[in-house]
Amino acid sequence: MEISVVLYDRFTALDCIGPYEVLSRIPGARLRFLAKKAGPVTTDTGMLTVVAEAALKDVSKPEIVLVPGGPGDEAALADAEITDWISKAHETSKWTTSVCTGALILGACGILKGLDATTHWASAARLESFGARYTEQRVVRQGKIITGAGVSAGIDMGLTLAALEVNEEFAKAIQLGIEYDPQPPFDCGAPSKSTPEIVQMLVAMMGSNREAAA
Amino acid sequence: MKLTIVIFDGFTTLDAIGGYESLSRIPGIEVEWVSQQKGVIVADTRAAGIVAYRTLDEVKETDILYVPGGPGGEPLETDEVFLGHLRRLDATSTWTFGVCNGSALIAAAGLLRGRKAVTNWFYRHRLAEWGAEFVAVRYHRDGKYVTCGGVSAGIDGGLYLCSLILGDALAKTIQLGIEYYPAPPFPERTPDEAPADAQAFMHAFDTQGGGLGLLDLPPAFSGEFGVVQRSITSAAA
Repeated sequence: MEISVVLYDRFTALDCIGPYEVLSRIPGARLRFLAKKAGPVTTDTGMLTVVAEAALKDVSKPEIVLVPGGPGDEAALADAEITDWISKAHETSKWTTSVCTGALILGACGILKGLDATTHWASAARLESFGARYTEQRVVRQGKIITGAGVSAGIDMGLTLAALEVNEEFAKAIQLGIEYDPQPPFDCGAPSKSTPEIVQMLVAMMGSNREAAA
Repeated sequence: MKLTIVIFDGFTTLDAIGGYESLSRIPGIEVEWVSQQKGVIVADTRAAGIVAYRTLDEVKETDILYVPGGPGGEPLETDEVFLGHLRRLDATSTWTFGVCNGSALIAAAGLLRGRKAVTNWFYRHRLAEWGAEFVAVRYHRDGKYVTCGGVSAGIDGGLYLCSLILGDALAKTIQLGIEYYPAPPFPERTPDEAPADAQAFMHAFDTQGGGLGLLDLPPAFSGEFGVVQRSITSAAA
């Protein structure tokens, strides 16, 4: 089984490393990180370089497509080489998935029109601009399309997909293997669980990140 | 403030990325990925690679020393050169952070003697060999040492360390940013409560890369990247 993770400049590492850690353990799976060109790809922080093993054009008809998000999302969704590849892969994929604002890239491919989907909460309106219905859930499945909410939700998405693709026992074993028994120090990971001050502080920080990236 | 993440052949990617994703959001922080050699360091699955910008030799001091785990950590438990680097960098660090059996490496360096610490569940019996006492929690602080349980526990422990460095408000902001209100599809339970066959499978996974001898496979990546991209400009451009 070929699993393709689509990297692009300024993606967010945890978006794809969460589900990678689950999906790469599927027996017989060949997970590959891809980018426009094989080689180093820099993440959103500018301080981490992940290697793309192959170029997009080197892989066709993967069974699973995974698109992470990150501040580089808008540049990626405006890049026809990336969106054409995802659109083409989606025609034959068994599963097409995204984490965080990777959903915007699927949206730009026209894949989410009329469907329920999730993304990072701060990009809900942008997701709807592609004709999707933003759904405030951690993982949303519509047929073979599975979208995950922001960043860390990719782990939940990956486990959900592993259960669908292999079986629940396998997914549970992997959940145990990565010791996913989360106990976050705070209960504030969603706007509805947070305070307006915290939400505002984050929106300001994210805004300046995007300006820096633009 | 400088965060130094020590990676090695056969590290587990999420061990490193889970904590990195929150700690790298500390305003003004500089993150460096280091290993015994520069170049692409290949993870336990042989399907992921991260570039080490610098060698351990080149790092003179750091503020946060971060040691992830993975099956590739086991041979390093007796590698005196590697452990010597951990001791040297720990001497100047404000915080020393271990995830999974990365905590065991910190212990093997002699740094957790007489302290309480946590490591991956299947490794807990090992800590006593190095004079540390295992505590069955998600993450634990003992002095400047913050240690975490297996793999994904680095996310929780990373946010906790953020709160120690930045205070609760900024740490909460970072937690909201990574949208961490986890909802695992299966009921949370400790490894001890898992069925025996699942425990056996995962023990092999943790110690031998799934019992498949993954570490004996050739890395998917070869070659080195002479110029490492540290700027935000596209590596592919």
